[in-house]
Amino acid sequence: MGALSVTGLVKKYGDFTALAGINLTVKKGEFFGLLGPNGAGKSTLINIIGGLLSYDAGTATAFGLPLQEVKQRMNVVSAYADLHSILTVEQNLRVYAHIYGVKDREKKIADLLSMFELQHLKSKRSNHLSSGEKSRVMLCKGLLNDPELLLLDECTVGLDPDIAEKTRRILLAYQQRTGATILFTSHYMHEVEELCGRIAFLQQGKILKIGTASVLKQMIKRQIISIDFVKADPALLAFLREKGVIITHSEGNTISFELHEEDEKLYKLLNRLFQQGYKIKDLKITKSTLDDVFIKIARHEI
Amino acid sequence: MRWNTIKGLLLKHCYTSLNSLDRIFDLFYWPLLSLVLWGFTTYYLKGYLGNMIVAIFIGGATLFLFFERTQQDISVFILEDFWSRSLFVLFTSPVTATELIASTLIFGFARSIITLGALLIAGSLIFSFYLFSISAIWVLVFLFLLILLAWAFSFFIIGLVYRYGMKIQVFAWSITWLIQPFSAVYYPVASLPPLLQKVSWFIPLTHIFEGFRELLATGTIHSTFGLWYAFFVTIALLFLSVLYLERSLRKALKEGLFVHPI
Ligand SMILES: Nc1ncnc2c1ncn2[C@@H]1O[C@H](COP(=O)(O)OP(=O)(O)OP(=O)(O)O)[C@@H](O)[C@H]1O
Ligand SMILES: [Mg+2]
Repeated sequence: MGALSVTGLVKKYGDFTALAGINLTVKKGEFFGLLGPNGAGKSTLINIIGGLLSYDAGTATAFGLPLQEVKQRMNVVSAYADLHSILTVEQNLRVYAHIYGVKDREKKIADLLSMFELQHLKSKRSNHLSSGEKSRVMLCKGLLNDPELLLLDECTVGLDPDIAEKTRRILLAYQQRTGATILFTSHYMHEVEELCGRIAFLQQGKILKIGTASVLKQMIKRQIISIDFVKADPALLAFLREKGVIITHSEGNTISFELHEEDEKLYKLLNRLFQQGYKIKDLKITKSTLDDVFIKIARHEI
Repeated sequence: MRWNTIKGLLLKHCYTSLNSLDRIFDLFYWPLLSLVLWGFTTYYLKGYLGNMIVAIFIGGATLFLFFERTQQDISVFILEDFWSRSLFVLFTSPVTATELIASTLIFGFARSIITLGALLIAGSLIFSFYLFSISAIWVLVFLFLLILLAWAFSFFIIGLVYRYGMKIQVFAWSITWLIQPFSAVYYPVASLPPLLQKVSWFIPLTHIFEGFRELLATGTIHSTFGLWYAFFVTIALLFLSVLYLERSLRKALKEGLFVHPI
């Protein structure tokens, strides 16, 4: 049984279809990523699971139960949501500690505030917080009830690099400590790659691909090779072109080119270069990144 | 309904009340201002029209302001979540609509009792008017009916808010003012034009205030038919407004009002 199970989920706004039949099972303890261009339907999916939106067809359950029945075991954090603006940080957290039925409330709140380095802001009114501070208070709210299912919709937006890194560590530690299931969206690919196991790629309300970051990256069989020669001459460029290499950049003794398919080809190419007497000072291989995969999928190039 | 959730929501309403000058003004400033205005006007008119006029106006004002406060408070505390843009957090939490409404009713009730207390104290100190000395039982009956009716109106307003968002918030304040002229609050139905008299008798409020004036004039209420009518119509309105509220909530979930409040 998955922690989260969605089948044939359809969400329409009038004539517009925001989700066009989503099938997704997230296993217990998975840190699952949702990627996709703006308007793909990531937030819509999260909001449906979070109970903010109804849907038009399909089913959605968490831990085998209707979503409405597991709200206590769940929590949702969105960068675009606000807490009650005229309540202070501490008052907000206290209210939600009650609502989520948290035991030992004051200790929990104090722990979370110190975890996110927010103690000094606890008496500040929520509408006076900076956006990064607000995001952190939201994360505190998100962990109040030690959720078994945590939905994070761009929860790291607005965090400075230092806090963002700490936040990722806190989330990973939380997930490892509790075995919670986390559904995560972000437009920062490095975050997704660092945190998530499997990733689903959504576009126009459909899931196009599901896989781990490395599996997704293998879909682009391309790497950029950058070689710093002792001496590069026009004959070298001609030689490379002859071997079917696409040169992307050439400056001084450094030549960069795209190489498709397997490593063996690079090995062969290097062998030939040695045989021709070209000496190599330095070599750099840049593999495709999740950013590249994102762009390719979004543009329907793979 | 879970007691934890209700407690959390009551705490939220408390903090909102304490942190917001507006919500404190609601409790005392506006009701007392109205009462004092009516009070001094009738004190001036007393010389021409006799003592009864003071009781009719200050008593009428106390009852009506209590009704108005109860109705507005509940709507305002629901609107508060729109103003503070906290619908997302609220509706992704385990709070159910029933718990949300129940907590608002409990808190609104407590607040309207505070307002009533302030009105009674001001009435007795400034104008030597003692509402409960007229007839404690009947006054309690009036207050009971007024609370139920205020709730029915509030449910309808909340239904409107969940359907159309903040753009209809003006109704939260004005609905009582809209019906006040036809509800015979300060003058008998007989003083309305004939056509409006017919309209007026449909409104439950009319029967409550007619009953109040009868009580003042004769010391008792001879026929309870009007009050029973008010009671049953109010119950029907409560039923319909809850139905409307429930449908609006479903529509809000369908159209994503809590994701993108309008
Ligand atoms: N209330 C609404 N009425 C009509 N269309 C809506 C409504 N809410 C969302 N949409 C549409 O649904 C689509 C999916 O939106 P959603 O917010 O899920 O995208 P997303 O994948 O989260 O995008 P982003 O990366 O920009 O956050 C969008 O095209 C959006 O315009
Ligand atoms: Mg989104």
